[in-house]
Amino acid sequence: MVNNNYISQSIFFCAFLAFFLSSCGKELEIEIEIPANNPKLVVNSTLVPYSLPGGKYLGIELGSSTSIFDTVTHNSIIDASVLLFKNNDFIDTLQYNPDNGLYSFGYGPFEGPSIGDKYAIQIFAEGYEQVWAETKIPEEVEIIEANIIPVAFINDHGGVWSEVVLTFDDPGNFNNYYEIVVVTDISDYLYDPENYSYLFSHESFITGESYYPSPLRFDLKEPKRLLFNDNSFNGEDVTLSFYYYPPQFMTDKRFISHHIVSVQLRNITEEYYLFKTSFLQSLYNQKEDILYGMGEPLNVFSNIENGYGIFAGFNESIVQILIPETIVD
Amino acid sequence: MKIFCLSVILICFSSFLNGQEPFILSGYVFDSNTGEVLSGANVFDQHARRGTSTNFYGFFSIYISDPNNAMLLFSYVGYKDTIIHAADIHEKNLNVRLQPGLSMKEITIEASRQSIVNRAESGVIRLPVNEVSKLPNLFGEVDIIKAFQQTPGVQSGGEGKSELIVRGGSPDQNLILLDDVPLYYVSHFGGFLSVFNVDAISDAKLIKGSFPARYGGRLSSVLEIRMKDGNMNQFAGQGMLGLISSKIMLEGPIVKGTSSYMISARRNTLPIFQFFGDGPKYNFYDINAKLNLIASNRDRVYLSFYNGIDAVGFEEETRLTYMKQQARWGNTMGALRWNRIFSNRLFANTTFAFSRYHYLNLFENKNQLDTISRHLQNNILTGINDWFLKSDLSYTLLPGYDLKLGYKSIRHTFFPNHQEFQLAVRGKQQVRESFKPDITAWNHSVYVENDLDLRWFQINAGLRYSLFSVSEKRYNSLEPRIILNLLLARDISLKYAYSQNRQFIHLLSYSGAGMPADYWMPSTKSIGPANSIQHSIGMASSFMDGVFELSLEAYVKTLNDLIAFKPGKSLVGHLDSWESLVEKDGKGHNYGTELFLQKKTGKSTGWLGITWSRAFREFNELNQGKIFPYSYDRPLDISLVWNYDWNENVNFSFAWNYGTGYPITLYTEKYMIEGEEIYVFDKINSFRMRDYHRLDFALNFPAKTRWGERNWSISIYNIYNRRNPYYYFYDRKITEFQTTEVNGVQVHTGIPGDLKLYQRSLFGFFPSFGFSFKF
Repeated sequence: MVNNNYISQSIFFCAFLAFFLSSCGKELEIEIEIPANNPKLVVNSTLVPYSLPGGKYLGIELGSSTSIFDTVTHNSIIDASVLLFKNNDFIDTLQYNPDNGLYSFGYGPFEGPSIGDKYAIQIFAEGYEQVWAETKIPEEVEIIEANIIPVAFINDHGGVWSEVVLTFDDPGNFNNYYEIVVVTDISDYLYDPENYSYLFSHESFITGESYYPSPLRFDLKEPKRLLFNDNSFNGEDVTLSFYYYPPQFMTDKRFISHHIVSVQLRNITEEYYLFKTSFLQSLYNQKEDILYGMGEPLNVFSNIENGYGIFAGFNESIVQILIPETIVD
Repeated sequence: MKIFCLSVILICFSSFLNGQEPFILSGYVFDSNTGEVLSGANVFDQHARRGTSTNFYGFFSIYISDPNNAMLLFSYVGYKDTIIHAADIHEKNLNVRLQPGLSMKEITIEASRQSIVNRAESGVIRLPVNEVSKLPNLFGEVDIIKAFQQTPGVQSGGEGKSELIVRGGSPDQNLILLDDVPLYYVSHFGGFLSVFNVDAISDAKLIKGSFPARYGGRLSSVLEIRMKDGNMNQFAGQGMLGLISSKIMLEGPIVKGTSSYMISARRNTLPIFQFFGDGPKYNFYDINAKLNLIASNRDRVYLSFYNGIDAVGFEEETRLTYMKQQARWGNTMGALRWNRIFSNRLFANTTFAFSRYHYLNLFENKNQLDTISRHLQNNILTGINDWFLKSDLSYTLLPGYDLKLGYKSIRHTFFPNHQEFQLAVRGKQQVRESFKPDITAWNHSVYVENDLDLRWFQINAGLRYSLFSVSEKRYNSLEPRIILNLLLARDISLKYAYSQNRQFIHLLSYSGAGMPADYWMPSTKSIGPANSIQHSIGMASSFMDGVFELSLEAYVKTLNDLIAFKPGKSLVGHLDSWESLVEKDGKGHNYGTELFLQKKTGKSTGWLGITWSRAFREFNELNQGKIFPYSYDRPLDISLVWNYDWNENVNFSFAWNYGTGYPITLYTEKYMIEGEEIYVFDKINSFRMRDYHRLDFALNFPAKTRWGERNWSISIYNIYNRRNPYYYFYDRKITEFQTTEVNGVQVHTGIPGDLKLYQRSLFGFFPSFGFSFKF
């Protein structure tokens, strides 16, 4: 009798547990009718001064939007007319280059983008509304000093982070916007986001940005760029610190590899800042979280009239520092 | 002459013996077992056809116009009604003790009329706590707010939530009072439980129509909850062991008949989220306590206290590192109240109280190597502190005319962002501290209310004046309120109500890629107070000998000067300029009709609530300036609750809820840029989630024991396992795999399929068990 009671109690408990586990987190596919909409042109282009390394590799990437459930993921537009203007004067019709998939600027050393001038593009493509966008390249904000502490922080997996302490002088009388990226292999292309290092910071004017992930979101990785504005330090000397993830390897101990780190402080335009911050936040909001549901839907900022994407300029100051191989512990 | 004088003497003497002059009778109505006062009890002169009800403190005052014939009916749901002949009353003060139980039918009819037909009230719902205890529940614990969510015009805001969405208003637009003290955040465990421990509550009332002038500062509703005072006669207690939480309540006399105490405590039973393995630690608790003293036959003093906290976080330590991350939030409140009966006509209550809500986020990290030591701490604290003094007077001016006056002064202190950052590297301390200065605001208000009872016509007309001052800005507000009740017949009345309301403090909730946190912010120079105007018209009836009560009410509510976050904006780190993060000058347009049919007596009790309603919002910079459905717009909402007392030892209840799916903003387009897929939405809330419905069941087995009572309860949430929407999300499921060879090793890589929309549900079929006891 006692054994039967024990067995029936156990079965009861298991059944209860099964019900409990089965009732949580159920998924159901939803069929929903989306109203038809006209596709829009998607523009992706950034301008830097020709004097910078990236200035030699610029162009305009042109794509198309699709309906949300369309199975086609990427449409390149290869037959559009892309007109370039400088200070409202027509400069050139850009040609599509199938080698790099871009509509390229056909300029020489003396015709590249220059600081302070206004650049605009006008694009015509069959089946799409005409689009227009304009931007300019701001002044460089020079890095006054940069110091690196190779072994500054160890995460809970034993990975080492290095700290960068950066000083610069924020120009007064303007609203300035900044971006910091770090590349740890100078043979890499400095403007390919794939090569950017993961970064994080404790500066409140960085962590207070809407895109910056909350530390309570354990599923979100650190960003690969730090974006911020000068509202809290306009016109002052600024010293800030942040961390990047250096190349490292393990033998019997952990080592930071020998590397040259490029720290890039970019003075970016407002449209660039709005695009990048909303872009990052939109990506985070698109992720599901079991506790909080989906993030609030957010449209990424665009300065492309009648289209999506970005046409924006920035300038930058680069510091490159050699980090020798360093033993951690 | 002698005969004449003798006749006069005899006449006077007989008048003295047989006929009293009209007089004002006042006193308290108590529970005869516990000595608890009963607020909202009906006091009705059946002869004069005029009545009143006890106030929040159980006090009544009624004019007896014909003492020789007046028959006073004292009634309260769940108690046996009592009739007292006024001729038997020889004092002008009378304390009445009602016994728990069922009434005779004739008395029930009249009592029913008084509870709904004869009152100048609009949109008022009272839920007896002992009836709430029988309802089906989640996790084995009944919840007073979840019970109100099953009445017309009130929604939860989502699966398992403990919010009050009243007539299309937002959660911050409800004035939630615990013993007269406002609380700012009333949810535990992410909203699945409210902070109100049913065992510590004696009375709960929700006013969702036009509320009288004595209430102010919010736009949508007033939820008034009264803590138990404590058993004046004997030591007693009750408790419960449940799946998620357990609780105990103790009460008893300090000096029998003169003073009493009540204390209750509740906390989670099991480590939530860690029950099935590693996960963040989540704990919550709350404590209610009260002291009650009858200082004299005219004075009563109460001391109330509440404290409740939720905490979630994790802590991890390895050989080299230590990390702790925690979020903690909750309310604390304390109130000292003094009731004074100055005379049979004049009753006064004075309250001095504080209320504090805070949200704390703390992060600590230590690294310790041979050469490096690093210690970082980052704490962010936000919240609001209130101190206030208020006084309310109730004066019976004339027969059928009560005048109420009062004032309230509140000192709000908002601490939007106290941030403390400390970093010590290699023993060298760098302390960086930044904070937004506290904001102090004062809110003074005075009101006058006129309660007129002309037998066939009742009116509550009032005016409230408020002054809100913050920094160098002042806002004035004059808020007229009127409620009319016209008796068309003995059992049916027509009601009309009008109110203007103003709300000087705003709630900004951070949602997005982070932990939800509530920021209460005052109106400022650039962000003014929100306001609303509500009209409602309805009818109330009791029929079938008072067994059923029916109310049908239609309303139109317009809201102005609402605020909302600009798209993509949040408050974290932006408190210096929070005004620039919000859209203002928003408008709300809400309207609806509510039907509420109740059966309050008999073996079978329950209610049917049906609401047809719409709620819209409009902002210049949102949705291209076009009007859009509010997030809690629900065109049809039905609640059907049925309780049945099978016998003394078995009772069960069913509750079925239905609601049109909530509006949702869905993406309609996508594009690729910088190697990422970006989604685009067109209009706000232009789609709807699937409809929501579920059936809950509860079975209770109460029984008397040698030491008291015990009850086993089984509750099943969502019996037919309806997959109700919790939220929608997009995903590409892995549909096939690609095999490649890397360094001689076969690697299988999943290939994401097409993008599809999915629904996440939270609770399917969910049984709960609980054991409760009383002694």
